[in-house]
Amino acid sequence: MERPNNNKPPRNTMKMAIPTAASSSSSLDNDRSSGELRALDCNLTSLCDHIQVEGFNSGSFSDILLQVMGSTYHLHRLILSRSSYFRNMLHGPWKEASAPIVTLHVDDDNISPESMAMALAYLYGHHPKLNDNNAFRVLAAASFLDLQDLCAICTDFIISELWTSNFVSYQVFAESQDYGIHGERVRNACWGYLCQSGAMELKEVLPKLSPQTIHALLTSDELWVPSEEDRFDLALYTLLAKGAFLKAEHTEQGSSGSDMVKGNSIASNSLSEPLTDSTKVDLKDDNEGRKTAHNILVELADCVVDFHSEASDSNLQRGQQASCSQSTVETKISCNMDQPASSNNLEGIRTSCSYAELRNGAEANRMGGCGMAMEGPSEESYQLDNNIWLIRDQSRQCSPATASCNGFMTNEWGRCGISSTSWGGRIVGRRQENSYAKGICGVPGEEYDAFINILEGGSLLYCNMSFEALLNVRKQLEELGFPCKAVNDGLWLQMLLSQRLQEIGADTCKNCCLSSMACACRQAYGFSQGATVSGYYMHDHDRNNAPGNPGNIYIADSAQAEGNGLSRPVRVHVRGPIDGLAGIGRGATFVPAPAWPATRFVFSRVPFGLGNRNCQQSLANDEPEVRAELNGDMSGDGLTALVGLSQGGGSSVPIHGHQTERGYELAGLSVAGPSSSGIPLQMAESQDAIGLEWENADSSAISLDMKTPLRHFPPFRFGVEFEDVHRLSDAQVKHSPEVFYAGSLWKVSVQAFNDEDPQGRRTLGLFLHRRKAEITDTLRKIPMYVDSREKVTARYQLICPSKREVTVFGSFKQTGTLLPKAPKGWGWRTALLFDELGDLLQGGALRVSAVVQLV
Amino acid sequence: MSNQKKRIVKIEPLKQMVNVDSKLAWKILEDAIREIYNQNVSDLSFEELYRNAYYMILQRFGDKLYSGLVTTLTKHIREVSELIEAAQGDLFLEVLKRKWEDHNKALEMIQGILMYMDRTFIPSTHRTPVYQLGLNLWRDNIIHSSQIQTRLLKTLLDLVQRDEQVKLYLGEE
Repeated sequence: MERPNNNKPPRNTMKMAIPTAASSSSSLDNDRSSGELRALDCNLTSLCDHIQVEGFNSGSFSDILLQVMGSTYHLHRLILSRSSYFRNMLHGPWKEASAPIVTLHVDDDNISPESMAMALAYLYGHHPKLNDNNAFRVLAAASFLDLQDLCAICTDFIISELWTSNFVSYQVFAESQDYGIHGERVRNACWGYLCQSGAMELKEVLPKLSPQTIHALLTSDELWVPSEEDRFDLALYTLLAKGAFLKAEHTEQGSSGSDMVKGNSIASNSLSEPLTDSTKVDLKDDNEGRKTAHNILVELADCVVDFHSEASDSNLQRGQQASCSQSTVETKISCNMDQPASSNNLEGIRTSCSYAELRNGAEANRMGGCGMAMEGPSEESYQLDNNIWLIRDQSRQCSPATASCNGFMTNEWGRCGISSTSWGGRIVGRRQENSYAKGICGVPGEEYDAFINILEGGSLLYCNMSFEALLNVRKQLEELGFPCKAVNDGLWLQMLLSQRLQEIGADTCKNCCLSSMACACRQAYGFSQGATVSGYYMHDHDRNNAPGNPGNIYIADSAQAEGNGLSRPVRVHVRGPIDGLAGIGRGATFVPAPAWPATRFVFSRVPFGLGNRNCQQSLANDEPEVRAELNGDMSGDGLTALVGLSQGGGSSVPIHGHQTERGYELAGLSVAGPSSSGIPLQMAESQDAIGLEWENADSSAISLDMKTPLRHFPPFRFGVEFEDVHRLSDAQVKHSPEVFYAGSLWKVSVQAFNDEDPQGRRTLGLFLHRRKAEITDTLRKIPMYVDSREKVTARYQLICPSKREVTVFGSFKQTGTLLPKAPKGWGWRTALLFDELGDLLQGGALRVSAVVQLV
Repeated sequence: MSNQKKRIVKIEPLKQMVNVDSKLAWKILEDAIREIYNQNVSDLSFEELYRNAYYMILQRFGDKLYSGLVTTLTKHIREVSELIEAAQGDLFLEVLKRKWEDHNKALEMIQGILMYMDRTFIPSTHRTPVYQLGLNLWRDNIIHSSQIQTRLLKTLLDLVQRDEQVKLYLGEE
C-alpha cells in the first residue's frame, strides 16, 4: 500500500515500481482524501491488533490445534494459509486437511521452539525480535514454513550483524545446509567479509573453516591482503593453526580416542618390548652405547615394517616410508654421536637437532598427543625412553593431546615415527615429503591436500615475491617438508618476466610514447621491421642482462616468429610435458580452456569445491575473442576515464587542466578516433600473431621462452587500505603506497567527486597508477629491473570486498588498457557512492585489492 | 589392526545414519508418489512428506531427490502410456483425458510436497521445476509416443470429420 510522502525524493524507479506492485489499490488511493486514508490506516491497525492479541495470544475462535516442538498453539486456518506450506497442507486432499489437531515434527537442529513460535507469530503480524542467537534459528524455521519475507528479514539482520565473534557459526550454518537463496546470501556475505577481513580481523577464524573455503579464500584475488608475502604468511599461519586446532578438537574426543590407542599399542607392544628395554639401558650410557642404540634403532625401524605387514596393511607406500624412517634415524643418531659427553641422550637430541625448538603449537600438541598415548596398558616399560616414539606414533592419528608434554624433548623421534608409520592406513600423496610434512603439521588427509594446493598449486604467486622473501619462504616450506617446486618455478618466472620486460622495453620506440600514439615506429613494439636500436630504450642496466648482440634479437624479420635459430638469453628448454613451468605458455595460447594441461600449475586456477561460487575470476587469458573487446573496453560504458592527479596528493585537482589531453587520449584509444584508431588494435594483433606462430612452430618442445606474451605471466596482486575515506572532501585525493611489479611502481588512489554521478550523488573514484621504477629506490623490496616505457598496457581489477558484496571493477577478459603516463591514473570515477560507504568500510578503512597484469 | 577395526566401527554408524535417513526419506516419498497416482491420498500426511523432502534438500541430497523423482515419474508415466495404448476404440480418448487429469492433479500434490526443492534446489542448479518436469515427461512419453501420437491424431481427425458430416447432414435437413 502506498502512502503519500512529501519528503520522498523524486526517484523515478521507485515511482515506476510501486504502482505495478500495488496497482489495484493505488488507483483507488488516488481518489481518496488523506482523511479517508487515515481512517483506513486506523482500521488496519486495529485489525492487526485484533489478530495479534485475540488471535495469536489468546487463541480465540481457533479452528486448528498445532502441536510443534512441545508447544500447543490455538491457531486459525485462515491465517496459517498465509504460508504456502500450511496452505498446501490444509488445502489439499491430505490427512491433515480436515484434522483438528496437526502435529509438526522438526528434523532441523537449527530450529528451536522459540524460533518456531516467532515464525508462527510472524504470520499473525508480530514483528520478530531478532538477536545474535536466534536470527539463524528463525531463518531456519521461516525457511521450513516457507515464509520468504521473514527469511529476508532474518538474512538482512544476519548480514548487518556479521562480526568476527559470530562469523564461524554463520559460515558453518550457511555452508553445511542448503537454505536456498537466503543461505546463499548469508554465504556471500560471509565470503565478502572473509575477503575483506580474512587477513586481519578474521585471521583467528581461518583455521576453523573448511579446507575448501580456506583454499578458495587464499587463492582468490578478492582476498584483501597487502602483498603476496603476507598471503604466504597467512597461508602458513592457517596451516599451522589448523593443526593446533584439530589437535585441540581431538583432545575433546579424548575418551573415545583412547580406546583405539589401546588396541594399537598392545599390538606394537608385543613386537617392540624386548627391543625397547635394551635400548633404554643402552642409551643411558655414552658414546659406545649410542652405537648400539643406533643399531637397535635401525632394527626398530625394521620392526615397524614388520608390524605393518603383520597388520596386513595394504599401503603401497609402506616400504618407502619405512626406509625413510630408517634413514632419518641413522642420520639423527650420527648427529648425536658428535656430541661427545652428554650424559643424557635426550639432551643430545635436543641440542643437536635443528628442529629442537618447537616452531608451533601444532607440534607441541602433537607431542602432547604422544604423551597421552603412553597411558596405554604398557605404560611402565615405555615411560622413560624416548625411542619408543618410533613405534608409538603409529597411534598418532588417534592419540589425544595432553598438557603434560614430556614429548617436548622428543620431537626428533616423533618426526621419525610419524614419517614411518602414522599413515599406515592410507595413501596420502605421491611424495615421501608429503607424508613427512603431514605429520609435522598434524593436519590430516583432505585438509592437507588443500594446503598442498595452496602452497604449491598456484594459490600463491611466488613469482611476485622479492628474492629475499622467496628465500625465506623456501626455508620455511622446506622445514615443513614441502617440495618447494612452485617456489623455484616462481623464481624462474620472475627472471623471465624481467628479461621479457627489458626486451619489450628495448623494442619500444621512445618517440612513440612521447609524441603520439599513432607514430609509425610504434609498430616496432610488435616486432615489426625497420626499427633501429638507437631510438629505443636501452639502459646500461639493461645491457647487463641483455644478450651479447642486441641487434640480432631486437630487430626482427618475419622469419623470427619461428623462433628456431635464435639464441635467446633465457630460454627454458624442454622440461617435459608434465614437469614444465606448469601452465605457462605451454601451447594453449589459442586453445580453449579444457585443453589446458591440468597437471601441475604455477598460476592457473582450478575451482575447488564449495564456498567460492561467486569468487572465481576466470582469468580467461586464452580466449580468442579478447582482441575484439579492446574497443568495448576503451569506449566502454563511460565509467572509464582518464584522470589527472597531482602527485603530491591531498590537494584538489584541476580537472579542466587535463581536459584537452584527456579528450585526446580517449580519441586516440577509442575506435571512433579517426586516424589513430587502428593502432592499439594492430599492436595487439601483431603480438598475438607472433604468439600464435611461435606456438605452431614448436609447441611440443618448449614450455616458456622469451617470446611468451606478458599476459601469460601470473598477475600481480596487492592490497591497499584507505583510512577515513568518508571524510574526503570533494576532489580530494588519497594515494596508497607504491609497490613494485614488473619494472614499474604501482599504486591505487581514491578521489572524491561530486559532479560525476548523473543523479548528483557524491562518488568515490578508484584509480590505478603506474610509473617507471627507479633503481635508486630504497623500498624494502628493491626493484631488480626497470620497465622504461612511459606507458604500458595492462589489464587490472580493483576489488572492494565487503559484507554487502564483493564489488569488482575491471575484467581480465579484455586485452588490456593502455595506462596513462604517471602521475595520472586510470580507473572509475563513479566506482562507489558515498552513501554506500558505510557498508563497505572495515573499521573506517576502505580496503581495495588490486590485480594487475601487463599484456 | 584393532585400531583400524575400531575406527571403522566408530565412523560407520554415523555414515550409515545419514545414508539410511536419506534413503528412508526417499523411500517414503517414493511410496507417497505411487499412492498419489493410485489416488490414495487421504492416508498420506503432508507434514511427513514435506518434512522428508525438506530434510533431503537441507542435507544436500537434492540430486538424489531430483533424479529419484524423474525416475519415478517416468516409470509411472510409462505405465500410464501402456494403459492408454491398451484402451480400445472410443475409450481411447476417454482414458487419455482421464489420465491427463489425474496426472495434473498428482503433479500438483507432488509439487506441494516438494515445494522446498522448487524453492531452493532447482533455482540454484538450474533444473526444471517439478510441475514443468511432470508436463515435459508427459509430453515426451505419452504425446510423443509413436503409437499414441498417430492414434490420437487419427482419432481427433475422425472426430472432426464426423462432426463435419453431422453438420453437413443437419445442414441438408
